[in-house]
Amino acid sequence: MAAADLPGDRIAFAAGAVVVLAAAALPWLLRGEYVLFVATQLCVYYLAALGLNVLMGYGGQTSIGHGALVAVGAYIAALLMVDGGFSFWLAFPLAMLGAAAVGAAMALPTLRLSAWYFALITLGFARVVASVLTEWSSLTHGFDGVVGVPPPSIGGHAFGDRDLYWLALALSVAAFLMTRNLLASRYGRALRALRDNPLAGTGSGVSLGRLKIQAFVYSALLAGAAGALFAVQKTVITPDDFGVDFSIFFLLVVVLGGLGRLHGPLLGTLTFFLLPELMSGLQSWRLLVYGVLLLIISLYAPDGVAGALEALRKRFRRAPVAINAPIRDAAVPKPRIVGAALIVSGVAKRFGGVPALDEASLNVPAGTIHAIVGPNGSGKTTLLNVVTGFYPIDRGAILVDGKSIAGRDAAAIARSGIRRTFQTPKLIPDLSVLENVMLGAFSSERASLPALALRTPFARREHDERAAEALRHLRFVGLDARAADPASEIPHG
Amino acid sequence: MRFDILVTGLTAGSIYALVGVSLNVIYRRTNIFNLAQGNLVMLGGLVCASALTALALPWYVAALLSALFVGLVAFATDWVAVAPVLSRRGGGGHGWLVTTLAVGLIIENVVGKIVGPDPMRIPPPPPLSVHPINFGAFAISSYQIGVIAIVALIVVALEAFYATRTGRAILAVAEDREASLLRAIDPLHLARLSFFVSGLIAGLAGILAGPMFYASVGLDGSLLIRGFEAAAMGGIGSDRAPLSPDYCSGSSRPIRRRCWRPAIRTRRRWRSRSAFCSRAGKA
Repeated sequence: MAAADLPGDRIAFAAGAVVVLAAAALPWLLRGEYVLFVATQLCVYYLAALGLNVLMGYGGQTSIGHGALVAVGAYIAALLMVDGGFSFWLAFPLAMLGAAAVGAAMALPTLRLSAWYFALITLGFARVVASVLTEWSSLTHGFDGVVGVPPPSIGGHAFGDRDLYWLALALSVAAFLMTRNLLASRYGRALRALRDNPLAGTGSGVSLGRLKIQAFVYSALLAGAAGALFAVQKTVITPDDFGVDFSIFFLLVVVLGGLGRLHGPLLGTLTFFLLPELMSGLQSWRLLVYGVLLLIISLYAPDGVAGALEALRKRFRRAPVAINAPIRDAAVPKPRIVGAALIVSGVAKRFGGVPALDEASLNVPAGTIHAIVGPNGSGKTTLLNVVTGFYPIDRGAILVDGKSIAGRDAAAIARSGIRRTFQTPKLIPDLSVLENVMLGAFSSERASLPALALRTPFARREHDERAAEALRHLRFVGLDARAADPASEIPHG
Repeated sequence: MRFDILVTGLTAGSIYALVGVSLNVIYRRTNIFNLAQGNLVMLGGLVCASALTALALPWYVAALLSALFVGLVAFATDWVAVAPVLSRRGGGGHGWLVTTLAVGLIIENVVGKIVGPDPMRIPPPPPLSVHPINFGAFAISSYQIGVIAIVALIVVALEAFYATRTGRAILAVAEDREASLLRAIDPLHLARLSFFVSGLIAGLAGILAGPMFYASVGLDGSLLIRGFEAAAMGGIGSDRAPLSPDYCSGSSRPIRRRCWRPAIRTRRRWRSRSAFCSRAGKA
């Protein structure tokens, strides 16, 4: 959202601070080794679930192999520390990078395959990793696993249970903040476009393939971090810890908490950890319970605990909050549009036996407005689709300022400045009206991923400028009063 | 090249192809992929084995009943886990991935609890037997011939079915649901039918695999992936297609096994057999 001056944001910040402080004070509030152990474990699982939520909840890529990525992180960290004598502080980032590399490899098939092929591949992948952990015993110690993983230490002081807990907590909080920042940035908008309306993304210049890999790598980085912490906390890791049910467990946690909800992973992990209290006698029924829970939640509460809470909150909410971002109207001079010359010559496009375009030619000088008129089915939209790269042409040439753009990827063409709108609005229902408009600025935003994750002043400024600009446009069409509404609640949404 | 390998390959391949075909039946109608399919196959084998031992039913009766049972379970899967998701606004996205996975988990664990982890033997149907008959260059058992023949027959029958009115209706719904509705084709009814048929075939695959591979809860995962392999290599959506790539993939395993060094060969064979006979998921 634009300039965080909403009362809601202040409350959220205060609430978050209280939660974090309370969590940090846990070792003094509740005594007992067991409590600390569970709390640390919670943080570890939370980290991994956070990553999976970004990938699956926001990006729409179902992965049943997330546990395998955690396993990779755990094993890399453990082996480096035990066999290689590395310190935790070096093994930790290496574990993250290792998991990220594996995640990128796992992501490659997604570029061409549709979602469920991909889900199956991640499943197969999880099994492969499980096998490798057992079979490659010269490296991984096989069934015996890696024993005696030392705790991290700073200057000779080895971390005790409490120190480890604080480390895990700190990492969880940091990961949450970074994730939140990224999801509020153009990447978050693009991810949701990937999930809900890929065409909207492509039309705004989002390279979907690259985004998928980025989402994968991000989730893998978090999984690797979780794995390293897992190894250090348990001190002994064996292949048995990382079976297919481990991946399914993360799926459950994320679905239970609420896919695509910021606090989903937290609620999911918390709820899940309350279950053992109810399930203490049912260890051997664990998988069955997972299955039943997954089914019930997916059917009756598809937005999980977070979604249910959100629905409750909406019932009691007052009127929608208007955005009070400063609208700098006349202050910004509008640059004169120079434009580029478009030449379409002899373009032909058939769909099966139907010739949609036959020797279509067009000459649009730079800086002019050109209207194409024709009856239904005459090929107007096809021409548009062909020029913007959404359909390939069979024959002919398309030149912009003398350079051919035929055959180029649609997102690349959009990024080069050639844009189009769609006949039916391609909206992202989950995003607000303002955010939908801001999606269009995707390719012109300059802040880098790290800058966005850390919310540097530059990134913040750019975000505010874009939001103000988007708000200006909304005001022009009279929608600024609805800027904060989710797009699903306005007509055509 | 010894022909035994081809024989084993063809039979194993036939089973995988059958699994692939059962996956296709659902896919053609709903464009979804049932992640519980491997569990359905496993269910078929185990129910048949139980019926044969516990109830002492004649083979063909037990086989028929088991296949019907699995068909019903698949039908229930659609009713409970798939149709509600698909009928949601926007097609439900990929919710079916999670629900079918959940159903698979449930089936696997309930069955595991009831049947236990030990693999169960299914004898071949009379008059066939698993005893290999020597034909000079290679040996093949009458049962293996039976399996290969049956699978080929099923595929042909299925292709013929898609040429009938109901079959075409199924393809129509997958192509364009609204247009089909306008022509008085009920997509829900057809989806249920497809799931039922898919369950029948999957159960049958499990039963056929029984005399050769042992019926066990550990089967499901590898079967799902191999069935998918079959369907994918041939081109998802086509029924005939799983057959040939799967004969290849079915053969490639025994070929690979033969051509490795003896030590590794023994280890691999032991491991793949133990994969089939392995315990239920370590719940």
